[in-house]
Amino acid sequence: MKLERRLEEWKAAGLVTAEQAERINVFEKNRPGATGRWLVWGFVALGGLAVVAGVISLVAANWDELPDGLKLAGGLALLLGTLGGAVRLEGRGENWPRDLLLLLHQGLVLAMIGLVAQVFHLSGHPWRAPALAAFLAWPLALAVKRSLLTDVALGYSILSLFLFLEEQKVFDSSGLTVGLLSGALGLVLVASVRFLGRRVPASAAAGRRWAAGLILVALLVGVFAMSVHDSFFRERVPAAWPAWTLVAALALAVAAGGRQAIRPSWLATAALGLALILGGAYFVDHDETWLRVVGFLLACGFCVAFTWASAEEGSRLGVNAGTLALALRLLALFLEVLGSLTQTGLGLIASGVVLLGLGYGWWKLRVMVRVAAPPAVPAAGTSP
Amino acid sequence: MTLNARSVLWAVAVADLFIFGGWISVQEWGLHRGMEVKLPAEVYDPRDLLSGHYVRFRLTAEREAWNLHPGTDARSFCLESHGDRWHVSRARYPGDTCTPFIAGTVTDYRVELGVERFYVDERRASQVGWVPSGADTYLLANVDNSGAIHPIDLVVAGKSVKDGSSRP
Repeated sequence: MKLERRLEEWKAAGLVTAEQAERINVFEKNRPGATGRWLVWGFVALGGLAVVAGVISLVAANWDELPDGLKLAGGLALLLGTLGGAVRLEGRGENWPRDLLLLLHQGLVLAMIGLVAQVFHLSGHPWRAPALAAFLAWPLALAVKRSLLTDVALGYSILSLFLFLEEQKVFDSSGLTVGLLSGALGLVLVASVRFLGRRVPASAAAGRRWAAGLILVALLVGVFAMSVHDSFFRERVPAAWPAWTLVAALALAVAAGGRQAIRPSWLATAALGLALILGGAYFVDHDETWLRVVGFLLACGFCVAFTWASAEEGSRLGVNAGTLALALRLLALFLEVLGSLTQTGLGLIASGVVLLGLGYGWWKLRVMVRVAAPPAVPAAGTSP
Repeated sequence: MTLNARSVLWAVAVADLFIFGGWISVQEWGLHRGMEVKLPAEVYDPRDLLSGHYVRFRLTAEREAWNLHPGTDARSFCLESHGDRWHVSRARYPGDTCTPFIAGTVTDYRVELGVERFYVDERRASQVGWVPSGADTYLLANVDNSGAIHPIDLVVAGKSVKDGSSRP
């Protein structure tokens, strides 16, 4: 929204006076370099990107002509160059060029491993490449305290761990074990974030993101395993030990949380999510329809509880995500139960009409029942 | 950035140099100092577009080593020549002085020698894709004194995958 429109709204709401709005407008328009600075950065970024893309294209076009020694020397020079550049950029006000170089370095490490393997025709255990990349990525992430660099380091570590477990034949082909161990790892990250949060806030932010992602994987697998239509799980093997691993990780996360008060809505969300995941783990080999219906209800209940808890927290993103997840689960139910697209379409139209009717009824109810007005906000500059 | 962080960046630069420089040096040393052998191979998957162009193969020596493995806990195996091709003759134990020998990792179902791909020039990839595996299929490699195999060329049905030339 443009500043002028916002100021008009603020004036109308009595948050600022007309004089203050005018002063803010003048100040923002006359801020030194307010528009020119972004223009300069835009040209620089576009030009830099064009040069880099051009160099990459030229190298790619002549890749097979380049001697192996030159490729390796170039890779090594890029690795060291990005680090050297990051050191030189220190103390120039803006940190993002330095962090961009370090991010590039983290990616180049993996590319360099691939290059050495290609030049010398090497192959081996797939987990080793991301493990080495993680080994070199963590010091950078912890040194400059940038959460994006921690994201990459965490990503390499998790990828390496899962590739190692895959090599050890820990996972079943259905993905149930992957889901449960993802959830367990996510909860271990939650516990770690509790300890690291104050000391390394940037790493904690990345840890929270990965924890949410990993727990989401576990939930999705739980939803699939307890789905009405469950042909995805052909093996039908209950995953007992990964489920216990998840329970142990949950105990760790709870213990790390200490005596911190948690809202009842979040507790309900956690309980429903856990029931969904563990239900999937234990009842995946059961064919009873009622269990599948319970699974569907658990999934819907989890989405509702999550949306409710997010609303209490004031998180619009959480509310939107929860509502979207609920809608997707309902849509999936139509496809599972009705089977064909025609029947699904008719079912959706009928459901949509019902929902529109409910919405209209709710609107009429609000019109008939007088809703209390929000408390008036005193105008700026006036005493209450 | 603090001085400490700057030190970390320099330390990572040194680690880069040490790890990659060391890795490349070891490979180069093995490639130029090892003993040249021809190891029979079976090509079983022409190429993989996602990982660059390469030919996947399985060394016959892996199967030969695996056949010996159930009666031994050895991780390295002696080679002996049959004509100009080299085959696994017996398990190699500490103190054994046989040369050349190959070393690998023993898993539950195979012996892995760490060499199963040969990367191909993109311009030759389409030709390599349909070359059938024949009797004259082998890996030309150097074997260093630690038993590591350093591929030089893969010959499929008498033709070099590297440059397309005929090789006996």
